[in-house]
Amino acid sequence: MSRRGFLAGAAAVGLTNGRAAFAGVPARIVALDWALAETLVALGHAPLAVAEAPLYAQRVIEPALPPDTLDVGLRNWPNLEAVRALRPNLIVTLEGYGVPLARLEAIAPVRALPLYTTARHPLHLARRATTELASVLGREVQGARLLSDLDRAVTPAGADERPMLILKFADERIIDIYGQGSLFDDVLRAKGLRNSWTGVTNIWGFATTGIEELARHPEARLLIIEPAPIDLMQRGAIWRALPQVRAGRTRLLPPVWVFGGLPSAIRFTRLLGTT
Amino acid sequence: MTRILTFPVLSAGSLAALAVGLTIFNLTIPEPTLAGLSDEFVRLWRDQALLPRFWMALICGAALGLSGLMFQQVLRNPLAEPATLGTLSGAQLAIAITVVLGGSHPLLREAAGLLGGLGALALVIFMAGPRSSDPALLVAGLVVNLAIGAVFVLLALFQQDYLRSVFIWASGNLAQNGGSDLSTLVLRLLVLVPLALTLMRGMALFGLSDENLRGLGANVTGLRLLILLMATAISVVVTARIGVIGFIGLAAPLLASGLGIRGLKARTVAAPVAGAFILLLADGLTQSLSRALSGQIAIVLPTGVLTPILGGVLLLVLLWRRRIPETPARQARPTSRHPTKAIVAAFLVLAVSVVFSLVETLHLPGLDAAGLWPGRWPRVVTALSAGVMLALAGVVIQSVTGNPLASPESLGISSGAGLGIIAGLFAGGMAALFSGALIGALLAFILVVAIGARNRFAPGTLLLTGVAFGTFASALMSLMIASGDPRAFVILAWSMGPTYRSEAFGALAGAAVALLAILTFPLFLRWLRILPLGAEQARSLGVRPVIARFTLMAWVAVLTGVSTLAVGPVSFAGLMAPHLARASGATSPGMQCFCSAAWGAAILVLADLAGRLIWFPYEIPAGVLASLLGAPFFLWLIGKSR
Repeated sequence: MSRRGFLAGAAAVGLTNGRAAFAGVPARIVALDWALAETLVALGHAPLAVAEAPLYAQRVIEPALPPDTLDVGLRNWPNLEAVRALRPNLIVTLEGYGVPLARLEAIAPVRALPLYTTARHPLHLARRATTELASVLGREVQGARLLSDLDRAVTPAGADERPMLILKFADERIIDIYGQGSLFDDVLRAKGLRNSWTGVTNIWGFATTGIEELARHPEARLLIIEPAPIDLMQRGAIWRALPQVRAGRTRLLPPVWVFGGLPSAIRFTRLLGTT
Repeated sequence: MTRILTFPVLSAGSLAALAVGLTIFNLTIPEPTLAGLSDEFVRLWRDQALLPRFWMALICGAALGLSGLMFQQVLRNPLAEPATLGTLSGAQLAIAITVVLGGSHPLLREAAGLLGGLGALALVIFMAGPRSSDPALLVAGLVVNLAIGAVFVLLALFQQDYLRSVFIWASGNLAQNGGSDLSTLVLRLLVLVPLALTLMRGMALFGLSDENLRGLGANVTGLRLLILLMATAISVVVTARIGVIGFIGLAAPLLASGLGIRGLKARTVAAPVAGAFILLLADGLTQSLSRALSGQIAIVLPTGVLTPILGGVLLLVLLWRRRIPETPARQARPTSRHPTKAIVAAFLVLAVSVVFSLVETLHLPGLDAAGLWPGRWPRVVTALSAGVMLALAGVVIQSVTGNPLASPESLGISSGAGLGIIAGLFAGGMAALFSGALIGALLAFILVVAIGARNRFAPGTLLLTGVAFGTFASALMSLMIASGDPRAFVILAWSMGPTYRSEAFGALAGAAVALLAILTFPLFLRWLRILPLGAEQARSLGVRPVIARFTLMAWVAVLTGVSTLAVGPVSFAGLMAPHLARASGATSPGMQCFCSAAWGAAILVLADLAGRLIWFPYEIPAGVLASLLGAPFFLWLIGKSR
């Protein structure tokens, strides 16, 4: 982000750059996490600034941030002076991650919302976060609409579905498989689909493992989140020998934010499409 | 002689037997792993993954052992290894850049690695000067390492998930997908190793000093260059395929000599064999451990995390029994210039940086300095006192060990703190980071003291213990980042000296310790003058080396620990400030301490300030910037004093 852009944003105290402003509603919001930022955008009240805003466009993709969204540094290491200079009246951040809350509270009121926790139900927490943000912003109507969008998106699919494995390549030998505690697993459950991965996962809901692990799930359909080195994989003997690869039960999914909130969950169901 | 060697030979023998046993166990694939796999897949898995992996471990271990031996022989320093001259960090950075630009093919990665590794080597040689002695090369190597490492960390911080694969590679995973990597590597080594062996006679010459060699009419510079080139090429082709497997290049040659094997020819056989067995054992343990933990952990265990533990334990066992032959590295010859100018310059830089740090609002219109004051002064005070502490600790540890490569982290205290932070994160989350660091630093100190005490705090032992810790800590860090856990970047940022998180209490505590250090260092000046003369000389002058070394080490440990807690393990200040002091003409220990404290403080405060301004709103950690900006300045200064 250019310095000039930041100066303009910082100077625009009182103005809200086309963002909604009602009495008593925090107009100037800084979001330090992308899942919360996308939720704010979906509620129709885009944040003034988002940590690593330029990267958001490549990873989260939709809903897009307004082009004039300011950047306040790294998500786990935002520039507190930059945040202060924006004179926010609300900071939203992920609970248990990043800057100690006391330092943020010295700048502006803070909402620290949990999403990825040891409770391992991010979709449930994402619903709660949506409701909470909607009520803070006085946008209960939009919040309810977002929740019903999700409910529609996760209506149970056909009964004769194969189990699935949702994975993302870390390199050409190692993959992340999304299981309990991930947004995707919660969505599959809600849709009545089966996630073939029932093994352990970390607090973010995925397990990192070698590709050979896939051979233990011969019946599963492989959903591979892009980007994936598929050309390279096809050259490896192990990959070609995987039962799912042999049977042609692999499918590439366009990028979707793996640590997302409700909007990402809805995007995921849409990408999942008819599978 | 034989009696002393029984123990190491026996333990090495039983470890080798364990390696063979584990290999057989892993290749036969025990029952529980078969569950859910078809026979056909199991057969394929064995032929295309497990067998290539076994050969890979054997060959790579041997190649790294050979490469390490060549480095140590030619540079005459037991701390030399393929990583010492910047080659591995150069390779790593080049590979990371390739990946960020979108290249991921193994051949591309290898080419980038070779280019980066040789480029870094060329840079080191160019900077140290064409006819430079081995200490100068090692110092230049370390500086280049720091600078390249800083760029890499910047890339990593700002390109996080692009670089996931680079970190997986950097954590040293031996998993194979078919035999193509193996055959490619074997082809490379079939060319490189015979070439390296033809240089054997040349290598043997380095048993003599450079002066003697020149007297014999040998082209020392060319020969050293050629051998370093070969050793680098070998280590880089291996590293490009399997990633960074730390410690084998260092431990294998030391293990060979620890077993009592003398003579270059014998060691040329023994070091690769030792390397092969260490890697085989490490990989056997890794595979067995992965099997045992299968289904209970959500991460892949890379071999590169286990080798430093294993190599470290082997080395520590050896150190426990006998002293590693140490070659005291000569320090740069002091010039006769008076350092007044340098000290004045340091204070000027310091004063300007402090004032500017406290009042600037360049990127922050609408905010006045008063509003920023509560956030600013702790940063400045922390940076300043950490700079002083690290610089003083650096002067003391470099003169006690007589090794210009020594820096406060060489004691392993900061690595211990780093390990404690990782443990703290997993045990108690973000709130436990500080207590984790504290406990880690204390445990590391106790271990280093226990090992050091056995060897009367001989410098060589201390440094190797610290290096063992450091390699392990950085391998674990790579593992954390390779695991994809977003919190890993908190740790990465922490490890890079974020004055960012300093708060009032910590800043004041740090300042108090720094003040105490300034007040107490004059007490040690006599020791600092006498210890470098050697233990015999010291005793005849009425100084008991054991007591003096222990006291100084404890003092260094406290300073390092406190500054690590405040700003993380910031390598540059502790390593470079003493060199800057010497290069600017400070000869007496007292003047060196004073001068480097001034430089240390100036460097860190300036780095903190610049890190805040350069890439707003992103903050570049002070430690990264100190290395990045300090390195060229430092090398220029060294060049001038030459």
